[in-house]
Amino acid sequence: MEILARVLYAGITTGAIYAAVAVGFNVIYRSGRVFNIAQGEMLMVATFMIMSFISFGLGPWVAFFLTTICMLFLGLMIERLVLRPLVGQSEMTLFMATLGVLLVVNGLGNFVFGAEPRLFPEMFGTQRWRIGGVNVKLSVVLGTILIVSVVMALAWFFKSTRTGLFMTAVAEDHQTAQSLGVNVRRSIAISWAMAGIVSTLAAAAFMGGRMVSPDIASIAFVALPVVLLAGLETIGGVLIGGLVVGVGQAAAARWLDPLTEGGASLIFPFALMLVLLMIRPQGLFGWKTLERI
Amino acid sequence: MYRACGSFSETHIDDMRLLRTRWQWLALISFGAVLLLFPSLFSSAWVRFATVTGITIIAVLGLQILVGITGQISVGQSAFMGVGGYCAAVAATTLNLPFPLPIFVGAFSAALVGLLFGLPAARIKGFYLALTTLAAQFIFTFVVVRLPNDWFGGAAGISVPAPVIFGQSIDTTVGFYFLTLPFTIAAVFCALFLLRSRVGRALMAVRDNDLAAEVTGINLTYYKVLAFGIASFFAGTAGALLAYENHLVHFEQFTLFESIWFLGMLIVGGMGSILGAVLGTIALRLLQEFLTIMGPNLVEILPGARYDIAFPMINVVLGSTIILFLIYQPNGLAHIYRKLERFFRIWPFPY
Repeated sequence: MEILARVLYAGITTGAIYAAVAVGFNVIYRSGRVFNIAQGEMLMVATFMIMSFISFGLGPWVAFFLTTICMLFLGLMIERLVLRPLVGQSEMTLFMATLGVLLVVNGLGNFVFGAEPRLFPEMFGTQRWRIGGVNVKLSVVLGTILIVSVVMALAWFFKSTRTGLFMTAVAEDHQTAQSLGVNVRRSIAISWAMAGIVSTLAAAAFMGGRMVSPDIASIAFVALPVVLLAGLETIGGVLIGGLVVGVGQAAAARWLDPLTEGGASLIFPFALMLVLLMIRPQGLFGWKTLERI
Repeated sequence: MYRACGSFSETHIDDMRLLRTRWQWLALISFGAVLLLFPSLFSSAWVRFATVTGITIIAVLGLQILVGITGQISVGQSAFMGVGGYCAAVAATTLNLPFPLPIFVGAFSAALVGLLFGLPAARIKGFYLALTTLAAQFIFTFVVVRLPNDWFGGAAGISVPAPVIFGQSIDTTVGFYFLTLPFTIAAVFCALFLLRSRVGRALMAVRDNDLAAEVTGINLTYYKVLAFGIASFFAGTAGALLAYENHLVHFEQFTLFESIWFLGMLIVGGMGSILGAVLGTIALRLLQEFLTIMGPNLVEILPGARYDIAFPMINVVLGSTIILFLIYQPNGLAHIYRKLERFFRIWPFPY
């Protein structure tokens, strides 16, 4: 029972990290139909920006606030400089453009912040409790709650507000949306700004007390199975996707890793993703689209 | 397409000819001569550069067939290259096969793995497919590192003995250059002729509109999976050659960044063109080499820069090159070449 509780705790908290990163992908895809492979790089930039602001002597909340604004502009900048000139191109072209963004931001990140790992300061304190034999860290629990509520709020935003519905319409078809009077450019710009903010939140919520280097960007690739499991167009679904992948991974780490020298938990998300894509290509909550010639 | 003046075709075979004029033959022969004389004209550093470029061209050609010709995105080409490299290394060391065989072992095993990861293409397309190849990249690294050390050497990699041909051990730079050259040339011609075959036309039909292709009787799944197989076959060959060239296979040679750079080479060269794959590879390899050499000098020029500046610099420059080409020259260097060719064909007339 105690082991099960521990596995669940580990699974839910890692699942929340994955969901936090995954929702960044989905927010952008949900209006621009761009799969922003550089999402992990945005998270990395946000992480290091918070650290830099704190090392300048600012309080953690001020640093967080400033970073949010900077990331908002970074998202807008990527959209304006890279993706707007490519409007109307195939999804493949846009995907490759974000690969270019990934290279540039990764290079600049290594260049500006240096490759050596540094300690990310605790944002919510270092309190720990023992509940039923599980070591519970307050900051992680707070981060999880924060992410869950942010994702729920985003899901509500896309479903119930005027702007969110506009963005959903843009995701379905740019031309049709434009002809019906939706401001396509504005919708896409908003989604990029939101992705920037979400990555700041994810960084603040989960990096506390960890050693971070520009390599943390690769967490985005580990979060990809969550994105695909949930489907690219869903917002709230990433929570369930994150839960499944996180708990599955924690279980694999507990029961399979001793047999496989720690390989099972690393491969589990990808194996799950491959199997699921064969059965249900659009993910659990993705849109099933019909194609005509 | 503009043909040289006086070049008429009377039969279908004439019409399909790649080389039509005496000048084209002359150009091809002199290009071949330059390739043969290259080691005596340039220093050994450049010969090594040419060898690695030749190997990269093979991998990028494979990717061109998959991405440019068939229209399936793949960000796992270097993982397939790694599979080829590792399998060739195992064939050369544990199984002790004589020289050319490990390369074929590497190529075919990479092709098998490629087919396996191409299988989801039966059901999915677009990004989702690209992301399964990304999974290939990660699974490759995990598997190689975690498997027992006497299978794939674990974290240390496998060192590969020098290839022996006719009792002659090849371990000089020039030797490797001439070892790689025939493979690169063969890869270019294979790719070129593949495009002109039934398979190539089917692949192009899949790229242009896969539903329409299926309606006209092309087995979609078969050709998509086949494209993955072919691409991985090329990658495996390249990986095996690279293993010999470096005397070592190590999983850190086959990173995601390599895969992205390969895609960048395609974009810079031009999608869907064999010439583009070759030109793009050479261009970006030159750029990479230039930055690697310039890296240490830049540390002195730029204030506050650190030592490890070469790799981030390459990423920044390559990334911006990719973006700029996508925006301003989406058809790549091959298109520029074709425009120039046309310009000189009809010169002095504008059209």
